[in-house]
Amino acid sequence: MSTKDNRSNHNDDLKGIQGISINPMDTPFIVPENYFDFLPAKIQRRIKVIEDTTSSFTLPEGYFDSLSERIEAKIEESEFENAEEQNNDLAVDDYSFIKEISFISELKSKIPAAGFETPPSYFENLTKKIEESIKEQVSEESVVSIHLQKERKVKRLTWIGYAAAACIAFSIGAYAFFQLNSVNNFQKKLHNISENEIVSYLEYYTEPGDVTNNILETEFEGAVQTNKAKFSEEDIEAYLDYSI
Amino acid sequence: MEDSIIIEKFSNEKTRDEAFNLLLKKYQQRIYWHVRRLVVDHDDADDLIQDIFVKVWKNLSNFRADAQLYTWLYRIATNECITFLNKKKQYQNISLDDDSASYLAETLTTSSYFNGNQAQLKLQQALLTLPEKQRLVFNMKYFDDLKYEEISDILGTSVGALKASYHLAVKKIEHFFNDHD
Repeated sequence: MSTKDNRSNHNDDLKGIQGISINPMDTPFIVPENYFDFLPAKIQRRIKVIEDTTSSFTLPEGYFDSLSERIEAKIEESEFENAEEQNNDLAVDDYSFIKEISFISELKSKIPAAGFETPPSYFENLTKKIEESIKEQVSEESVVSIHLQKERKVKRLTWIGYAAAACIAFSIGAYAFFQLNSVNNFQKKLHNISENEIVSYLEYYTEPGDVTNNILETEFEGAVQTNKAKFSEEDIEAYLDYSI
Repeated sequence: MEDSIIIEKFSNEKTRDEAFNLLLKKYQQRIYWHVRRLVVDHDDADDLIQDIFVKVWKNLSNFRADAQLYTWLYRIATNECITFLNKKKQYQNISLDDDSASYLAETLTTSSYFNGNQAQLKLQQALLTLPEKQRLVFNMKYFDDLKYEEISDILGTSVGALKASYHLAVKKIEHFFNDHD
C-alpha cells in the first residue's frame, strides 16, 4: 500500500470524528526534520544490539531445568521466615513435609521420651500437695479478707473521727469568727461615741468603787484630764454632793 | 471422667472438692511434664505445678464450656512457665531479647532428676538452643502429640505460624544433630 493510500484511509477514519481536522498537517504535533526517513534504520540498529547481547552471554548447563526448583526453594524459605516474623499462614510443600516427617519418625524411634525423672512416688503425693496448697491459699485469703474488713472498719472509724474533728474545728472557727465580729462591732460602735459622751455617761451611771469605773478612768485619763478645765470647782462639788 | 462432668460438679459447692480431685488425677501428670520440659528443673516444675493448679481452682468457675478444658489448662501452665522463665532470665542478668533457653543447659546436666541417655541429652540440648516459641511448639507436637489447631488454641497463634515454627525447629534440631555427630 502506497503512502498516498495510507493518508487517504487515515482521512476516511478522521471523517467520522467530529471537530478533528481531516488534514494531518493541521495537528499541533511536530517531529524532527527527516524523522521518519531515519526511523526504520534506528529500529534495525536496536534489534541488532539486542540480538548481539543475547548471544554473547552463556548459561550453566541445565540452568533453566533447575531454575524453577531453586526459585520455589527460595520462596519457601522466605515464606517461613516471614511467617515466623509476622505470624502469616504458609503452606509446607510436600518435599519438605516428607523430609520432616521421616526425620521426626526416626528421632521418635530413637528418643521417644525426654529423659526427665521425678522423685519416687512424686505423683502419688502431688494431688495431696496441691490440695494442701489450695487450703493454705484459702485460709490465707480468709485471714486477709478479715484483716481487710478490720482495716476497713478502722478506716471508717478514722474517717468518722476526721469528720467529727472537722465539725468541731468548724464550730470553734464559726464561734470565734462571730465573737471577733461582735467585738469588732462593739469597737466600731465605741469608736463612733465621742469620748466626752462616754465620760459623762460614766459620771452619771457608775457607782463609787466600781472596778469598771476605775479602769475606764485610767483608759480615758487623758480625755478626763483634758476636760477637767471645763468643769468648775463648784460643779465638781455639786457632783460629789449629789453622788455621795 | 468427662471434662463437662468435672466442670458441672465443680460448679456445685458440695461436690467442688471431689470435682477438683478428679481434675487433678486426670491432668496433673500431663501438665507436670509440659511444665518440666519447659523449665527443666524438677523443683521449679514442682513449685509451678502447685501455683498453676491453685490458679485453676480459683478460675475454674469462670471457665467457658466452649473451650477445651485441657487446652485451657495448657494455656495457664504455659503462661506461668513463660513468666517464670522471664523472671529467671532477669535474675541471671540475661537479656529478655535473648530468646533461647541456653541458660537452662547447666540445669539439665546438673539435675539429679535427669536420667536420659546420650541421645535424649542431645535432643534436650538441641531444644535449649531454640527460640522459646519454637521450643514450645516442638515440645507440644513431639512429646504431647497435640494438633496444630490445639496448639493454636493454647498459644493464640495462627496454625500457619505454628507450622513454620515447628518446621524451623525441626530443621535446627537436624542441623544440631548433624553438627554434633
